[in-house]
Amino acid sequence: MPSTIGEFEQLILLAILRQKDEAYGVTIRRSIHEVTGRDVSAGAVYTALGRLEQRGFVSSRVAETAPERSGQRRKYYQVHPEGAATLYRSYSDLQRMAGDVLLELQSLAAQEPFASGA
Amino acid sequence: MSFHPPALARLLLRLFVRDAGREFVVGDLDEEYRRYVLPKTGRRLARRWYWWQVIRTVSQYRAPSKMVKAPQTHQGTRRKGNAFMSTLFIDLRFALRTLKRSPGFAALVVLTLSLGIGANTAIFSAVNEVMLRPLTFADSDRLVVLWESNAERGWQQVHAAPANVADWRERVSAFADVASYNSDERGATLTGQGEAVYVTIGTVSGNLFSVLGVQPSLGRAFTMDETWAESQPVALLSHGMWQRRFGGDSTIVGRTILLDGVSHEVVGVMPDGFAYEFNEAELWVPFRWTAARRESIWFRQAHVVRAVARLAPGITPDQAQVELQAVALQLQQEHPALNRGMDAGLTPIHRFLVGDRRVPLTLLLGAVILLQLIACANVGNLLLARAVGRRQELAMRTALGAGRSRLARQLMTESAAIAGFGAILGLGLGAALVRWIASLQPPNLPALVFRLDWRVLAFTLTVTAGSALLFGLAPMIRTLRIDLTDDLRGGGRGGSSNLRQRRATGSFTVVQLALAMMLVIGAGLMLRSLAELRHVESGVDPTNVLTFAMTPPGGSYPTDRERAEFTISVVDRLRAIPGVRDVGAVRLLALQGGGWTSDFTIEGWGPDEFGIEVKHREATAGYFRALSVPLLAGRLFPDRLAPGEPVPVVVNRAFVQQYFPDESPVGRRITYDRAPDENSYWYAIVGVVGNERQRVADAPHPEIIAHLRGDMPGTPRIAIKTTVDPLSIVPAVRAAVAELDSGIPLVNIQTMEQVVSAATARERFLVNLLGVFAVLALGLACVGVYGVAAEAARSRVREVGIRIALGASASDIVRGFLRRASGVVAIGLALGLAGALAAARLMSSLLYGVRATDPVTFVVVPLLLTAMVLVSSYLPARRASTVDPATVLRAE
Repeated sequence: MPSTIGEFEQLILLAILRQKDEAYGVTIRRSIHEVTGRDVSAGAVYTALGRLEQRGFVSSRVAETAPERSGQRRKYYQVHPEGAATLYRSYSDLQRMAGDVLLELQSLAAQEPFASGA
Repeated sequence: MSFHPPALARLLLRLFVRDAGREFVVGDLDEEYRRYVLPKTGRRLARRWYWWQVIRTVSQYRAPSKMVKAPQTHQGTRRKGNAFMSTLFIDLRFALRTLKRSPGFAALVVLTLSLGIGANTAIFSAVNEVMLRPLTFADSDRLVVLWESNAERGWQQVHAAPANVADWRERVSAFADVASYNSDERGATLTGQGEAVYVTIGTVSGNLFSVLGVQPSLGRAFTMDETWAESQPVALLSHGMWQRRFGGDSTIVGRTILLDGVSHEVVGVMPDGFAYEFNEAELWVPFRWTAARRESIWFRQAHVVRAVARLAPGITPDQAQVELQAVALQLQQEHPALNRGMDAGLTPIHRFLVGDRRVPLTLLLGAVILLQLIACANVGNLLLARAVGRRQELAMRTALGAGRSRLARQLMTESAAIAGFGAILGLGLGAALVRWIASLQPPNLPALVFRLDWRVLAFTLTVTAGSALLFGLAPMIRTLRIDLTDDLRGGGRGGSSNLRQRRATGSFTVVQLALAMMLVIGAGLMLRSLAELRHVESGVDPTNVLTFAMTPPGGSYPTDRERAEFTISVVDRLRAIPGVRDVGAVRLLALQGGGWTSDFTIEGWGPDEFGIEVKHREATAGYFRALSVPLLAGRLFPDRLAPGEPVPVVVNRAFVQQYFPDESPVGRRITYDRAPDENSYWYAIVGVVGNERQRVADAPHPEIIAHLRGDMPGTPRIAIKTTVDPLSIVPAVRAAVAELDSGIPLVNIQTMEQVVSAATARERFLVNLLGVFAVLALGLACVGVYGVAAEAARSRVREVGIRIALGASASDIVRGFLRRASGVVAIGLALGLAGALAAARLMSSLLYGVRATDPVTFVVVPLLLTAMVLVSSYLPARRASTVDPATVLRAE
């Protein structure tokens, strides 16, 4: 069975892709926040990145520091082809599954929560 | 900008995130904080954001279920000590499960502990801030504060005379440099920056900041030459003033500002947080003593400055003290009239600044430690009772092969978990308590600042760990004594283990009662002292009196005389406001302490006859009427003096009692000199008034009050007696003053009742805090006693049943229980009395009108405690006496 990845990992991989060469903790977190409004913790991001790296989906390199980092270095991430393939598969699976029921999903979600109950 | 992320949060992050990713996590949060959050939200919100991120990240790293599963790690090798850690985790999880099974019990113990830990955290944070945190001055251990003492005058460690300070600076080689300052900040009017504002000024010698080793953050400090009037007027701004008034404009250096109408060049801005002894100063100016002043007798006679010295390299404070005293002796000989008996000494600056806050803080710290011990005894008792209840479980596990040390460790982990939860809740409570205490903090006291930092955290952790050991030990020992045959059978009908158990609980209760007694007696003494202070006859009637201060700016009113003249015209004008009965002005209101003192002679006294240390102030006649100070003889002053008329003074009753016991002083003339000469100014004594207290805790001092004419420096205060609510006339008062001069701000608008209540602020502060701690202690002790009594009643239900079956009445049963309880109570209270007697002596310096062995407190408190304990043990006993013997015996 081809490997798949969870929603949170998908978000992270997409955030890395969006940042091109500038993907590290801060930009990944901010990117997710800007697009989805979710404030994910740094801990969660690094735990997920660790898992992705173990599975060979992303690679990292340690690079220079910046003055506002009080001497701590940055770790930049890059999506590997294997990661990209898995992401693509997971995402398109989801899209295909959703395609026919998207309208119904929308109208269901728009209903008053207690409208049908009695 | 150097706005760092909160250090404590950062430390926590580094502590908890231990893997290779730490550097990047920490760096990311720092970067995001500085680059995005801080500029957008400001410091307060940014710090909150940082804390929130740290808490989330840390919990992420700690949550065991989300941790990377061991087999998947690439490193593969398990760390050393992993076995230990995994046992710990298992124990911890087990402990949490056990606690979850009895949520009521868990909540009770955690809450009990958190009360104690919270109180400890809050009080220790104040102790830390005031007593432990190092000063920000360079090499502050080389700084000493110099003072003068005079046995003849009853002066102890008082302010120094400027001329003496100048001589110390020149002659004492043990000092690298000596600086001085006026510790009483004064008011001035700042004009030319929009509306006229009242500002608070610190007056200093030019070298003060270099002696303290503090650099301005902008511009330069004063130079020694600027101490004198010959140089140009200069000023240094406080950081707050610079921000508020000048918008943090860095071109302020070199600009001029108008203070009391005189232009001063701003030479610099002091760093944020610099206050030293200047709690309220918004800017500093040099003394600017004129040559005439320096030559005058005033320079050596007026003890008005604090002196601070930096020790020369290699000199110890003791060596400096010896040399300083030698110079003081020389000065006594050189200036026999003014320096008679004048001794000098020094105090390390840190001790000086802690000052009279040491005793109250130590007292409060003692109180919260007692509270914590009581909480520990309570939790210990509860755990012990539970350990007994869990005998079967533990015996079963022993039988199945669990080592006793393993079980003991398990129980200790449980205690630690309880303590840990207590600590987390306690920290929160502590922070809330800090906020509450800060709101109680009276504004006119040297601030007790409360702030949580790593030292406070370390203290809290120590208290927590210590507590866990204390209350965890007894149940653990109980466990090590598991008697397999007996315990597995689920028995325990009396037997030796039961007796031991009862003894252990008994001693917990004894300790608890003794400690609670000490705490409650301490609070009781403070309360009695406050009551005494409240009943002090202050000599004034504060009802319906409004007071405020104002400083007519020196620009429009260049001399003291003109300012006094203006003040009198304000008084005249205010009299016309509807609802005003009397108006007066005074320099130094009753109960405001301090004041000037002088020697004096009365006309007609012999050459060796003189009085010393009489207090003097200035007032208008309306002041006495506004505050209902009675005129006992003679008359008060006219509103205005005829040209050439000798200035009239009145004396108070204490003055008459001390110097004119047999005759009336009215009509005599008085001068503020020991040995009058042709230059002496003679005042006419025209009347005698009732005593006003200068300080609430000191008996009224002999006092001379002169007609307000401007002979004394300082901001005059206006007192208005009204027939309506005094605060309701404030707008009319403002309008009336503005009519005369629109450029004068009114400050310190207070009712006299507020002034009186501020005088007992410290006592009320301590009574409030100690009272809360005492009530908590009483509550905990009662819960403890009740718990023990209930447990005893439960475990003896069979015995009670048998006795009732054999014919004992309910009251026999109750009496039996109470007799047992009273033994424990008696020992506890006796120990508590002894402890309280010893502890009360330590707080005697804080008491007024009450002895440390105050019989009322020492009788009422034990009675109160006994009553509460008896009620707490009566209720379970009563319930036990109503058992139905048939049911109990059948249950066997």
